[in-house]
Amino acid sequence: MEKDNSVKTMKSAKTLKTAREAGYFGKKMLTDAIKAQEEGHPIGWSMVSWWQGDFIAKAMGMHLVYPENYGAFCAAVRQAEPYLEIADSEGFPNNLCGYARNCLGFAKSLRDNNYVIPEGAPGGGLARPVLLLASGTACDARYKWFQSLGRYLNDVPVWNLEMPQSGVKEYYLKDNKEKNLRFVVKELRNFVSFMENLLKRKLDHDKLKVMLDQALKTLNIAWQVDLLRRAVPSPMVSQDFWSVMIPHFYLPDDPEAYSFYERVYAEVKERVDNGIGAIPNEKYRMMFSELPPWHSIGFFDELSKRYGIAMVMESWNYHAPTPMPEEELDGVTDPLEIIARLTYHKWMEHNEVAREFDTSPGFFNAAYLKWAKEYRADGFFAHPLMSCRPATYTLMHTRNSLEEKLKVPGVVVPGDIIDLRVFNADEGFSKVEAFVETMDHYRDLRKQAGMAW
Amino acid sequence: MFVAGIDIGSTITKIVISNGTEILASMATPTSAEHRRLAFRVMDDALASCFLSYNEIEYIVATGYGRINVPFADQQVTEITCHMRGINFLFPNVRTIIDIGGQDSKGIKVKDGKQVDFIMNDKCAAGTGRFFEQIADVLGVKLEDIGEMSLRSKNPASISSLCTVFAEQEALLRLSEGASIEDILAGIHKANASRIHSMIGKLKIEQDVAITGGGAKNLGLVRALEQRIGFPLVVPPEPLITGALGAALIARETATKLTPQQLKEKKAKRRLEAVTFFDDPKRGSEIVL
Repeated sequence: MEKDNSVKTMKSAKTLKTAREAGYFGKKMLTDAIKAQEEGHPIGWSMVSWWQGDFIAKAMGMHLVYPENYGAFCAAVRQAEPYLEIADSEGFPNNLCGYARNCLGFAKSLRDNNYVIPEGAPGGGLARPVLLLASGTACDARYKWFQSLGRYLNDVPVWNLEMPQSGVKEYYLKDNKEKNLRFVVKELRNFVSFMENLLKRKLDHDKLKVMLDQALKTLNIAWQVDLLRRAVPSPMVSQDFWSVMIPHFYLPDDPEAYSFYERVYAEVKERVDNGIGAIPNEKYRMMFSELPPWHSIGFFDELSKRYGIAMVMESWNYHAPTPMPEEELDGVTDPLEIIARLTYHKWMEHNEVAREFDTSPGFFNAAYLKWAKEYRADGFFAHPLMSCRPATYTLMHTRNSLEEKLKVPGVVVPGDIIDLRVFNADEGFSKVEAFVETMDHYRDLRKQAGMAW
Repeated sequence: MFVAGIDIGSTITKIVISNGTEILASMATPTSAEHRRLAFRVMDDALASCFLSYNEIEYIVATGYGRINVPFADQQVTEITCHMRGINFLFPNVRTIIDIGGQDSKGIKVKDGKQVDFIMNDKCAAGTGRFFEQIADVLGVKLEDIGEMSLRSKNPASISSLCTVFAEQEALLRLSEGASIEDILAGIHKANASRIHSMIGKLKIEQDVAITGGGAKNLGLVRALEQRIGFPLVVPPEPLITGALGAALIARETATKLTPQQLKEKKAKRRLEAVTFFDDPKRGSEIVL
C-alpha cells in the first residue's frame, strides 16, 4: 500500500516529553514481532484481554501483536481507510467494529501477497500469526472477528478466553468471587495445555512468575501516575494518556516499560510539585469516555486552546487497576491464579462504588462517579462510537448518572475510533463551545449544594 | 446604546438592531456562499433602515454556523446560547426550546435564564429545514405551503423512513399508490415530529416548550409536534430572528460591562472592508484538520 503523504493529520502535540517518546513501544511491538518471525519464533495476534492470556503466551516464547492497537496506529497515521475499504468490499458491514474491519482488511492484503507483509504497511505491518488469541471480555463483536479471520489466515487456530462479569448483587453473593476465580484458573489451565500442544514446549512457571512480578510493578507505577493527575491544574491530559497507556496496557511485563513509567512519574510529579498544568489556561476539567478518535487526537489540543479544557481522566478500562490488596495474594503461589486475580480485580474493582450509588457494573459508570469527585470534574465528554456497541451503550446512562447524582453535566460528540469518515470535528467544537456555558451553570449548582468542587 | 446581533444560519441570515429596550430593525435574507459579503450587505441595509452607522453600534455579536465570517463582529457566540437568550427574553417561563434550523435541529433546556442542557441532531437531515425543502421539491409544492397543506389531510400516509433520500422515494411511492399530496405531507410531518420528539425527549421535556427557527413557521410541523408532545407549543411572533435577538441581548449585556475606552478599542478592531471568503489571506492561518 502506498503511503499517502497528502493526507492531512490532526495529531496531538502532547504536553509531556515522555508522552512524545511513547510511540516507541507501539513500533517496538510490531518490529520485534517481524524480527522474531524472521528468527523462527511463533507469532500470535492477541485481543486485549486485560492480561489474561498475554503473559502465558509470552512466557512460552510467543511474540504477540495486538490488532486493536494496530487499528489505532493505522488510524493515528490516517492509513486505516484503505483497509476499511478492503473490508467494505469483502462485504463486512461498515457498522462493524473499526478495529475488526481494519484487521480484516489488513489480513486480506496479507493473504493476497502470499502472506508476505505488503510494502508500505503502516508501522511495518502485523507478522503472520500461528495463533489468534481471542477474549470474551467486554465486547461481543470480538467473538466473530477472529473467527472471520479464518477466511484469510488458513489453519490458524483461534483460542478464546472467558471472564465472568457478574452484577453487583451476584458479586457479593457468598463464594461468588472464589467460584469465578476457579473458573478463570481452569480456563487458563486449558489454555496452557493447548499452547503446549501447539508449540510443543512446556510452560516455564518460574519465567511466568518473574514476568508477573514485573507486570504488577509496572501497573502499580502507572496507577500512581493516575493519582498525580488529581492535582489542579492537571499535570497530564488525555492527549498524553492515549500515548502513555501503550506500555502498561500491552507490555507491563517488559522492564523497559517500567523504566519508562518511572520517567513519566518523575515528569508528572515535577509538574505537580511546581503547580504546572499540562495546558497553560486550565478553566474546565473534563472526563472522557470511551475510546478516542485515534485519527484526530489533536481535536483535544484545540479544545484546550479554545476553551481551556483539560481532559483530566479517561475511560476506566484502559487505566491500570488499583493495586490488589495484600491479602488478595497472600499465600497464592500459582502464577495462573495470580493472573486470574489480576484480571478479575481489574473488572470488578469498582463494584463497591456501584453498590454505593445503586448502579450496576454492567453500566460501566461507577468509575466515573468515583472519579468525578477525586478529579474535580466539571464535565463529562461522551464519545459514542459508530462502530462499537459496548463502548457506546453505557454512555448516555453515565452522562445522566453524573448529572443527577453529582451535578456534573455531559456533552455527546459521536465519532469513531478508526473511521475518520464519521467524525465531524467542527460539529464537536460547536457543541463544546455551547457546553462551556452549561459547565459554568453546574459549577454554580455544585457550589450552592456545598459540594467540594 | 445601540447594539446588533447577526445570525448567519445555513439557509437564512438574520439581523436585529436594538437600542437596548426595543428592536429598531430586523431583517432576514437567504444565506449565500459568500457569507462575508452578505454579512456586510445585510448590516448595511439594517443600519440604513434605522438611520444608524457602524460606529454608532456599540457592540455587535455574531452567531449561527457562519459566525466566524462576520469581520465586523466584536464577539462570536454559539447559536444554542443565542436562541436560549432570545426565547428566555420573550417567554421567561419556557423550560424547553426546540430549534428547527436549516441544517440541524436542537433541543435546549433552560432554568433561571441559564442553559442547563442541550442536544443536537447528528449527521442527518431528518427533522431539519433541508429535509422539508427536499420533500417540497419532490412533490412540486412551495416550501412555505407544505405546513398548511398537511393540515388538510384526512388520512396521513405512512412514511417510515427518515433518511432524506429514502423518504423522497417513499413519498413518490405513496403518490404512485394514489395518496394525496396533503396526506403524504401529513405523514412526513408526523414522522419528523416523532424524530424530533425522541431527540428532545433525552433532555426530559419540561413545560413551557417553545419552538423557534425556520421550522416554527411550518404550522404543520408545529401541530404534529404538539400532538406528539401532548401540549401546545409557544411560538415567537417572528421565530426566524430569535437567535439574532439573543445575540443582540448578549451584545447589550456585554457592552454595559465595558468602559467607553474598552468599547472604543473594540470598535477600532472591526474590519469594515468587504473581504471575500475566497481571497482573505487570514484564512490560511485557521485550523486545518
